Amino acid sequence: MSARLPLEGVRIIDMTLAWVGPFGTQLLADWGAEVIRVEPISIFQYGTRAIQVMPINRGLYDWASSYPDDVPGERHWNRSSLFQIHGRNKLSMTSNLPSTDIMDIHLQLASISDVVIENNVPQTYDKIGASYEQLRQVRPDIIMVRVPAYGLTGPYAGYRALGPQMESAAGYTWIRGYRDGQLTDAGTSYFGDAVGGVTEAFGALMALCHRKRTGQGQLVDVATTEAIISYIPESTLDWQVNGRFQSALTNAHPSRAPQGCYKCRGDDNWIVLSVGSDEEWVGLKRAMGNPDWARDPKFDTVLGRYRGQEEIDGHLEDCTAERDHIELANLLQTEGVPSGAVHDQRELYEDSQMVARGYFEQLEQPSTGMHPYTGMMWKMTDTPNGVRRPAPMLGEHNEYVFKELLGLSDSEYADLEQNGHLGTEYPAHLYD
Amino acid sequence: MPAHPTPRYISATIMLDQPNDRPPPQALSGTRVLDLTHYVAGPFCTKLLADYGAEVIKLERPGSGDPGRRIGPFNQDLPNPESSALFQYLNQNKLGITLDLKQSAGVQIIESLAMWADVIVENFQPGVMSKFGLGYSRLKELNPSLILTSISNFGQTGPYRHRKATEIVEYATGGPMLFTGASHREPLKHGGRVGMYFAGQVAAIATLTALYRQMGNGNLGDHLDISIMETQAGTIDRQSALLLGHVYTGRRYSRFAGENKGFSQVYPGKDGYMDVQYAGGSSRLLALLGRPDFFEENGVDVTTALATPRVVQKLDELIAEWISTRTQIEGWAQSQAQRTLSAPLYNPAGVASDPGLRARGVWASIDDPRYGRQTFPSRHMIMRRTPWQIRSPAPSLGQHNRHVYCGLLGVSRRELSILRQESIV
Repeated sequence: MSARLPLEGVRIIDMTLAWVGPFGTQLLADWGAEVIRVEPISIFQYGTRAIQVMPINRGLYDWASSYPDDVPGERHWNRSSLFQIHGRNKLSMTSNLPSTDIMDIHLQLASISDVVIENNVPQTYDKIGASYEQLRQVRPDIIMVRVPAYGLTGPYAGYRALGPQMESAAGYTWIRGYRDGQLTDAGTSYFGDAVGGVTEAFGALMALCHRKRTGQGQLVDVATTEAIISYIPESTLDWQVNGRFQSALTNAHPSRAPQGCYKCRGDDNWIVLSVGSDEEWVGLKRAMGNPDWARDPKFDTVLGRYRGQEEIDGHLEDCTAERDHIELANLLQTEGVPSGAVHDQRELYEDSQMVARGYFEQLEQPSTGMHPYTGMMWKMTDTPNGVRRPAPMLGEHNEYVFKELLGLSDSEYADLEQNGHLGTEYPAHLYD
Repeated sequence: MPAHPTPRYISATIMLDQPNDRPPPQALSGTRVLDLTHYVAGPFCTKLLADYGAEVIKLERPGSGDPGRRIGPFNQDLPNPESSALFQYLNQNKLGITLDLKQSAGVQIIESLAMWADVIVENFQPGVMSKFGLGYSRLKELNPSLILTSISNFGQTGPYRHRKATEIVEYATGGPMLFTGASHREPLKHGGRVGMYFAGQVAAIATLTALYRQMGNGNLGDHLDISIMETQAGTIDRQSALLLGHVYTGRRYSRFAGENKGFSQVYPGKDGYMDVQYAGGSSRLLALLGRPDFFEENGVDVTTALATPRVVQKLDELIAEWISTRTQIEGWAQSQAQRTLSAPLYNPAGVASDPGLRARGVWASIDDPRYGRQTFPSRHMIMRRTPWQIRSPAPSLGQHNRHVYCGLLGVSRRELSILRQESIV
């Protein structure tokens, strides 16, 4: 028999939205925590359950989320690819927040929970949720993790941001881009959302470990912008210790050369490679068929290649132009050169490494059907794990939470329904 | 089988030179980590654990040490094994020892440290630990509740497990690189080495989930297998949703920067750039610009505005004009007052000097006897009850050999000098 999932028995009240918050709770749910999403039913959370149906996004490229066969369909909030991924393994309950008549029930739920996580703008959460002090009164060892963009204190505490703004304020956008291009060419990245999400999970887990040892809970204040700063010490330290101003390097490496991304056969097929030693350089030359230009002895040393990167890049573009990107990456690897194809989505699904490790998992969701989902972020050798349940329908677990967990009677449950707290649909005017 | 020296279960932390500086409790106080990592991803994982209280003993090879010591930036641009500011940052709060794992006496010592440790973190090529005789099955024999955290480029199993990679290779093969950058240019990698830091933090989370279970009744260990490629494939940075989206729609998602105004754009202001998000608050943005009726004036509404190029162009000009007359801090404060999504696009000097970030304590300084005052990014987050601390600077190569070998493992000074002579330590 395999071991229990490590977070089994931990109950988390999840009041997160957009990407940062739900990503963190996804990781905790994946490893066994019972994560209950508390979803306001009087507000349609764009960016959490949907992006494409947002009025301002109508008719635009579906850059982060889509629907089966491009049809949002009935109850589209249960069907977007975005929500399907970060909502998996979680439960959903609804309530009409802010509303004082339900606060007691929320506190009752908190009293049988271990962690409350939220990533709203602080003043918004303060209107809809219970404060740490209130939570402590009903559950003295409660852990609360709050993940606003700039933290709970300081002059920017109330400021709003999504991933790209936090990346910009942290100094990350500055070092990401084309050396010879405009800042706008780099396009948007949402790496900051991923950083905030893992930092949220990290904070919750440290607090859980501390509580296990001491019996004490606490409030954890995660500022995603600050977490991003901790990921880019190279640029801030160079400024601090040497007064140097690092800027974007395109795809080059600060010391390895050549390193870059080169076009291969086809419309939009690319390979990346990176050479850091003489052996790797010899391997690269062999894979390219020992062309004449590469015999130039000035490229035989690390320094020579570093100085000649631009010239080498020009030649490499010619060498790769007619090659198949996946075959060439395989060949370079057999010659000992760090390299890889720039995978598109289909190629990643079919990639032999991903297939061999069983990374993708088939899962059936009632309103979208059977599809392959991204797997666990890591593997535990003695604790096999997979996606246990698809993302919840809105309000799918209302009965479980209110009746089974909290012991509400049928008439109390009916009252909640009457007062607009329970439901499986948003009123159309919220999203039309 | 040779007898192992009996580990003396004392705290490594209190063996520091300044016994009076015994730190207050931290979240991971009492957790013992043996750190066999090098470069960036592994050391960042153990740094996160050390910064919040874990006792981390970092092992380096004698002579040259962690190759991370050779990565800049270096203080005063003078590279030497003790001058890398990045190494300092990544290895604060750890104890440092040297040991040659290729010699059997070295392996024996590791075996006693494996009995001391709750967690071992390593990022060798897959198979190297087994070659040393330190595979998971052996370690589990020695210490059944041990957590072994392995970070590798592509995972411990599968046909790519021996492949080589740098960060760009993981970003490309994991998938997000294809849709990052401009459509008329080559795909663009992350800035800096953030993919490595991300993998390091994922490894720290994985370790803590296992630690939480270990601390409970189960007392169970496990072997955690973190593939950096998979951390990229599963990221919320669009990739996981776009993979499912591809199956939903059959579309191939690639670069399209500048072709969709639904997300953030960058504009120059008086003293630097600003990042502004169109979507997520278009009416508030128009109010901010003093043009609440802009859509009606141009014969569009919210559902058609951004799909109409002439309107997008006008809107672009309006925002550019508004930002051009303001400093970053002014523009930021004014747009936030209207609840509009925006931020200054800081360069390294901007982020270092921002008064609000400074007031939050984003930076920390230590006085280094060689280089004077050093300023680093400080805590990763604020834990109100169990705060982040700098307990000690990064160790010089082998700095804590005597503390660990003699104090913790009961090796005599005479024995230590034999180990030194044989270049084992």
